[in-house]
Amino acid sequence: MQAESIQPISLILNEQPIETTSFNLQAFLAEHGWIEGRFVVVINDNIIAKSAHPTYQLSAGDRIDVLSPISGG
Amino acid sequence: MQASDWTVYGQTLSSRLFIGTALYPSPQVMCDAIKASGAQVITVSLRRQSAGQANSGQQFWNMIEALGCHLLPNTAGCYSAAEAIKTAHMARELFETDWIKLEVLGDSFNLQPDPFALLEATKTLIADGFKVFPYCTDDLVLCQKLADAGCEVLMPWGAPIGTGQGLLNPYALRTLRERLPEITLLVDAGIGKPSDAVQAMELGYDGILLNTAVAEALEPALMAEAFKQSINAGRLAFEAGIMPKRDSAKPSTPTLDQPIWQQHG
Repeated sequence: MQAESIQPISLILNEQPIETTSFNLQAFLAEHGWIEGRFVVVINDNIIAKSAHPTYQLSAGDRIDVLSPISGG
Repeated sequence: MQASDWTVYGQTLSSRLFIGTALYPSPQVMCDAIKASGAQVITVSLRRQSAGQANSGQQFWNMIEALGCHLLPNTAGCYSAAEAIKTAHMARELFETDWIKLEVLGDSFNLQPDPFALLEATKTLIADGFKVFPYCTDDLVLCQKLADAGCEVLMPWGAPIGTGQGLLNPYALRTLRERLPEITLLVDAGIGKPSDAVQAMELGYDGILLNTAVAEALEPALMAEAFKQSINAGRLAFEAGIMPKRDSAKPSTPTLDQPIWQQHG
């Protein structure tokens, strides 16, 4: 019996379209290099607290913004 | 001699210089300049970063964390109250501080604050628990309304950001100082050289926020030291009490008991 393949979902990450099979937010972030450290995640204009990352499930069409510290005046 | 300590939203500080972290030729030059400035508050910002650059934000964070300064995140680049409010909330989450340098711009040519959107965003953010440091023009009525909204600190411009023009309207800045004696006032933007900072401090301003004048100096750390000394000197002069200007001369050498031929009546 053949295993059912996981269908990727389409998301927008920092204004760029992207497909992923990592539906868990923490796994998705890790896949793109955001493992630990200073960054904030905003999904569909809502800030997602770091404590919620391990359990947050992504949905098709989500707009994800990941912001990091930069210099400023 | 060091000028007196001061308090900003409950935080006691000895340095009266807030310094930006942008535009330096290298990260090391930035760190050296900030250390030389003696600043205890540095401004920072936040941006989206592509997945491939995930580490660069962390590297910057590690550098500024090692400086041990208070962080003042900004909402640079926002042109509406809604945008600035959203950015402020993200900054609070990212930097774990309720301080926000609130920038809401109304004109992209001279980066002039939009007073109407600034006041709107200020009211919302104060209701949301932020300690707002509004970057504003030197308009008295705007500043009164920002103070009425609950700002303990106001940061009027000396001149447009990055111009180095100095204090373009000393009358307006002096008026703000006289009319808002309970408000902590910093000149933010337009400072080009240490004498500009001295002028503001002698007016009774509590502090200076600058970036470009140090970052774009040939020797940023040296210029940072110059600003440190000038800001301290200006504050000491204000605390000492500056003599009033007079229209007529007044001899500084005592005239009593002068020889008769030197007395000109």
